[in-house]
Amino acid sequence: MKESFLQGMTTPIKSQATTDLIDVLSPYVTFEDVQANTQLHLSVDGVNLCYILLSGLVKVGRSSDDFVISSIATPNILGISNRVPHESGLYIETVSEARIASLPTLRAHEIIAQNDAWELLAGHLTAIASNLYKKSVLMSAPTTYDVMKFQLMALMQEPEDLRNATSTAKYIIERTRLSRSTVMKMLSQLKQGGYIDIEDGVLKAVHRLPNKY
Amino acid sequence: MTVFQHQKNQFSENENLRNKKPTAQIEKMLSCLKPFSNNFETQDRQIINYMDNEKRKCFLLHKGSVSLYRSVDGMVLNTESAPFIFGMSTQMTDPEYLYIRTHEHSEVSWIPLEVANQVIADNNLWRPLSQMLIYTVTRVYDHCTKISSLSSYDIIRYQLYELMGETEAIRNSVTIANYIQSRTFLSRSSIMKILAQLKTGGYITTDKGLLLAIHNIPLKY
Repeated sequence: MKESFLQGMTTPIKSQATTDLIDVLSPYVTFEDVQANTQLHLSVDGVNLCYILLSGLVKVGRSSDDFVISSIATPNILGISNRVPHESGLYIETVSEARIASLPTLRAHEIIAQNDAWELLAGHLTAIASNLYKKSVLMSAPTTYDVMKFQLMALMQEPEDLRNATSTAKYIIERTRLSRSTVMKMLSQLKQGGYIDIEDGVLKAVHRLPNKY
Repeated sequence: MTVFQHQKNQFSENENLRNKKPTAQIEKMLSCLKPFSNNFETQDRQIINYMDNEKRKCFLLHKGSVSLYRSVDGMVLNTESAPFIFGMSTQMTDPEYLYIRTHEHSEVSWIPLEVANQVIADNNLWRPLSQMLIYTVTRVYDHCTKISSLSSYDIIRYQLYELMGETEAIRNSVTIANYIQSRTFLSRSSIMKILAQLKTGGYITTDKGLLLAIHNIPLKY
């Protein structure tokens, strides 16, 4: 797969509608500073929750198998679709301190109805859909090397403070089914070949990655 | 409860999802969009692109069912039956990212995307659109998680239940191996091997490669 295609696939899409929808919901909620490494579940006691993320570094994971699904760019809204089943075990985890508010998803829909903000919700959902379409390609890449490539490109596009605080190997291992030994072997070979720069486990640069391993 | 229904609980998310399709809202949008749409002659297994002459299109599916394919690798994302509207959830992505293929004879019409957006604004259809997008997002999410982090056996097991949940017309027209191969990156030989063992074990009933029934496929290989 071409580099330009990879770039497009790993760059999240943002919509003005998301920010505008946060403005609509904000008067009804209380924001808190949540410390790093806190897990917030999308379903608590059978109630689906919606999280408004104003700032900070945040990722979404799945508790059933400790799989990290995605990093989330802030500001953003998660859990606004009330269809995700309770047993899915989805959670948000703060990577840095983050400013977050929560409310039941049904309540969020009431507020949207009161304010007739469906157009904003539609815009926000379109951005979410686009990012999921991209994610679907990243998550089911054909070969181990393609999976590695996607993850390296994605890590390179993370905010710099996150990237500098993250071990490249750990980032890839928690987001894929690749074994630690496979990841370590590929990383060291890519480094040796001069395709990537890694210092103390931190990814510093991705140069032209070869199409084939 | 039959064994099949019982097993379905393992995939309750999916079953619920199909039940939760906001059909009334989609039909409401279709009735507003239809007067502005142009009929589209389709044949069996015809490919439909979202982009034509630099213009983005929206497709209205009135009858039949279609599959959504990713252009990059030809993988099937999912199957959708009428009524449905394609092109709304993809307007922020590359128009060449997905294409549609009809299954049986389907009734499809098309409308320029900008006209569709205008009709939705003029008729204040944002709420029904949101409901349809929630459904779409959940289905794509479901696909992502199911296909990503599983073993070959898990994927095949999941795809078998997916196929069993398809309409009979689809099930009678596609072999299990083709269905699974077009939706995964598994090799034909590994699919065939697992299918043969499931058949020998009496977990599935097949006829000429078509899936007739599922009897409690074990969770582990």
